[in-house]
Amino acid sequence: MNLKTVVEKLGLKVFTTCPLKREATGGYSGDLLSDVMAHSREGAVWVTTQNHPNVVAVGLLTGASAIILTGDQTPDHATLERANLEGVPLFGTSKSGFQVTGELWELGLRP
Amino acid sequence: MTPRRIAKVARAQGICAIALADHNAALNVQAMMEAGKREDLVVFPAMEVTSKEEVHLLVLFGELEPLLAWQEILWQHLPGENRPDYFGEQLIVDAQDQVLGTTSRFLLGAAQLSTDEVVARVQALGGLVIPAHIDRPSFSLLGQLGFIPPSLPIGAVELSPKGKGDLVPPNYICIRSSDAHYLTQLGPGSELVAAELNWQELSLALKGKEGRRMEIK
Repeated sequence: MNLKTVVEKLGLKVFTTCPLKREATGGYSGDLLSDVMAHSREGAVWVTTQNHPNVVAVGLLTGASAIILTGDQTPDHATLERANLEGVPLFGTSKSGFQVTGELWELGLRP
Repeated sequence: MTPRRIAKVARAQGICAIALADHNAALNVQAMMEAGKREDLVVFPAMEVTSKEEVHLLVLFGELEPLLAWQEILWQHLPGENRPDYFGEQLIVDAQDQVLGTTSRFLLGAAQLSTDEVVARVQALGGLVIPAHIDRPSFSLLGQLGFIPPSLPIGAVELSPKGKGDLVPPNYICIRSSDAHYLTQLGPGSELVAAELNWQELSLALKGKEGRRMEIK
C-alpha cells in the first residue's frame, strides 16, 4: 500500500520532506529498540513513542517504510535532519499506539 | 575520543577525576587508566550498561579487576553483532591512542539482564550503580519506567549536563556528568566533597555518608 494512502486514511502529520516512494507492506508496534530490531520486518510501518535520532537508525536497519510517532510528539531537529538525510519518512499523530495500530490493521496491513 | 586526548583535555579543564563509561564495554578502561596516570588524572573504572528495559545504568568500581569480572558476566547476556555501516566501528585502543582493533559485539544493544539483576550483580562485585541521565526521556530509568522503583537498592542518580532534578525524589543523591561522547563535550560535572580523592571517599559521598557529599551546580 502506498504511504500516501496511509497518511490520508489515518490523518497523519508528515514531518519529513523526503519523497513517499515506498510501499507499506506490514506494520510493527514497539518502543524497545532491541525488540524492534529483532522483530520488525522490511517494509513495516513502525509505530512508536520513541523520539530521538536512534529511532531513524533503527528504522533504517529494519527497513521500515515509515515511522509513526504517537502521542502528538514532534521530532527534534537532530531526529528530523537524520530522517530527511536517510530518506526515512516520519509521520505523527495525536492518537495512541493502540489506536494507530488498530487503524493500520483495518487498512489491511499485516505483520 | 582517545585516552591521551581525554586525559589532556580533562586536566586542562581542571578536572581531577573521571570515570570512563563506554556502552556495555570495559575494553578501553585499562588504557584510559594508564593514560590518566601520566597526566595525574584519577580514572575510575566504569561502564554504561543498557538493561533489558533499555535503561542506561552507570556502573562504577574502585579497581579494574571487578569491572572486568562484570564484563564477563555481561558478555554472556549481550546478544547481537554490530553493524558498522549503521552504527560505526567500535574501536579498541591503547594508552598511546593507537588503534588495536575493533569489537564486533553489539555494544549499542540491550543486555538480557533486568535493571534489578544488573544492580544485584554489580553490587555483589563491590561496584556502585547510578541510573544514568535520569532527566532524559529516552534510555533513562524515569523515561522507561516512569518512576524509580522504591525497592531498587540505589542511592544516587545522574542528571544530564543541563538536566534538572525536579522529578527526583528528595531521598536520592543527584550527580551530574558530562556524558561526553565527543571531546568538546568533556567538562566537570560534580564536585566531590571528601577527605581525599579515592574510591572509599567517593563511595561514601555517593551514599551521603559521614559528611562526604557530591555537589552539583
